[in-house]
This record gives sequence, C-alpha cells and structure tokens, in this order.
Amino acid sequence: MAIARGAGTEILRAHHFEDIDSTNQILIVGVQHHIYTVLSVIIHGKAVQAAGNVIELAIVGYDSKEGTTAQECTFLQQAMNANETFVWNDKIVFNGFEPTNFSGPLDDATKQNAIADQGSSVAQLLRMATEHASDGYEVNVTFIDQNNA
Amino acid sequence: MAIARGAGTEILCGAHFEDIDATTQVLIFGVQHHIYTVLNLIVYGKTVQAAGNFIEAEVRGYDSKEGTTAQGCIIFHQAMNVNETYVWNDKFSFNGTEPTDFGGPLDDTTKQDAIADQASSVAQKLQMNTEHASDGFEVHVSFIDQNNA
Repeated sequence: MAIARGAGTEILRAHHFEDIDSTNQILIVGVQHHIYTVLSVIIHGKAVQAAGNVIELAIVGYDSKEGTTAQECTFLQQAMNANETFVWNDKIVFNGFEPTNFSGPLDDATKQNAIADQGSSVAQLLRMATEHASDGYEVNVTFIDQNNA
Repeated sequence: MAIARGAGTEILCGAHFEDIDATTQVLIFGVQHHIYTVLNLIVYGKTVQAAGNFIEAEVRGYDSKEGTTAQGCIIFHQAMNVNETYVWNDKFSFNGTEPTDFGGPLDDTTKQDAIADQASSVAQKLQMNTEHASDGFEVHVSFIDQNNA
C-alpha cells in the first residue's frame, strides 16, 4: 500500500533533480491547506559554466508587505564552483496556497489569519534557478507535508 | 526476537563497507513504499591510490526535472588523502522506488503526488564510488527506514 497522504496526515517527502540551470525549476508545488516544512536542500555543482556563478532559492507566493500575489521572495543566493556542494539546512515553512488578497501591509490579526486560512486559489512554490543556461546542478530536497485539508 | 521491520515500523539501520573503490557500491537499496532518511556517512581513506582522489556519493533515482528514470543525483564530490575521514552529517531523505513516469519538469501536484506514491518498480538507491580502482575506502552509513507498505 502506498503511503497515506490524505487529510490529517503528515508525511516525509523527497524530490531529486538533475541539471538545474537558469530556467526556473519548481522544487515543491503547494496544495491548498497544506503546510510544507523544508528540512534541507542539497545542491551539488556538477557543471558550473563559470566559477562563482550563483544559485538562488526562493518562495514564490504572497507578499504580506505590499499585499501582492505571486512574488518571488529569495532566501538564498550563493556563489558556487564546480564539484562543490551547498547544504541549506535551516528549516523554512510555507503554506500551500496564498491568502485571500488583503491590502498590505500585514498589520492586524485578521490579515494574519487570512494567511493561515489559505483562501486564495494561487499555489505557493519553492523554486530554484542558477545564473547561466549552461550550469547543471544536482538537487535533493527533503520536506514534511502536513495535510490540513 | 529480531527487530520488527514490517509495515508501519520505523527502524534505525547501520551498514558498513570495506575497500570501496571505483566500482559503484550500493549503500542503501530502496524498497517500495519505504522512505529512507540518511543520518550520516563516514568515509575513511584507508588506501588512496593518489593524493586528492575523489569520493562521490549519489542518490540513484528519478530525475524530476527531465522526468527520467535511474539518474545519478550527486550529493558530494570530495577530494581525499590517505588516513583522512570525511563525515557527511546533513540529513536527507529519498523514496524506496521511483514514481510512475511523468513528463518533466515537476510543475503540478499530480506529478508531485506521483513521487510520494512510488508506483514504479524501479528501486532508488544511495550509492558511492571513488576515483580509482586501487582506492580502498571504509564506509559506515546510518539511516532511518520508515516502512509505509
């Protein structure tokens, strides 16, 4: 039997990607009423077009300052060389969907609860890209998926 | 009584390997509907054919960017000298078997759920090799095996 991933479950998940380059690659796609806890992202520079080319990790989702949908919120930009491995090992949480739109900035409990309620239909994402089209990074992402649907 | 490792169990495992060289050695062999969390890898350079020869560890499994089976996704590539020990101490997870094949890249929740469901019969593995046939590395791997079968 496959792992139970229905409402009320909390499961460990892992995805693997080869040859990520400057084209945005989604690492995790959000689902409404899920909460994702990223445990680690391991990034190995198999091919780096030029020493020092950067990798970037971002949450694509709701900006609670301006009240704007589908914004890229970067949390890592790291210069890399060939054969290096970078380990992102600090837990970060994001919701599966955006809140029902509110006028930013976040400044009261109603708006804060809207974020938790995930009332929009717009998925939030964990996403990665590199600096150059000829880069090639191997990526392993490990995360917990809490399904509160 | 032996340790219970049937459906619904989560057990701690350790395995040890002597004289790993340029021939790929499987460290963890995936089983369908299991999830493996690698706790650490300890690699000791007992014999190194030439100073600076590399060791490499990878997850062999499904590439969620291209949608391709049985690809090597490198975790680390490390130059070594004789009598040195390298410790990989960052937890990461991988599934026991691959998903039902989908057209890459991962960009929707159906594909993401296919990864969690592990419906393919192709095992995923943690494996390792070194640079030269005359290398000889001693390796200890510690991991958690969650059996969701």
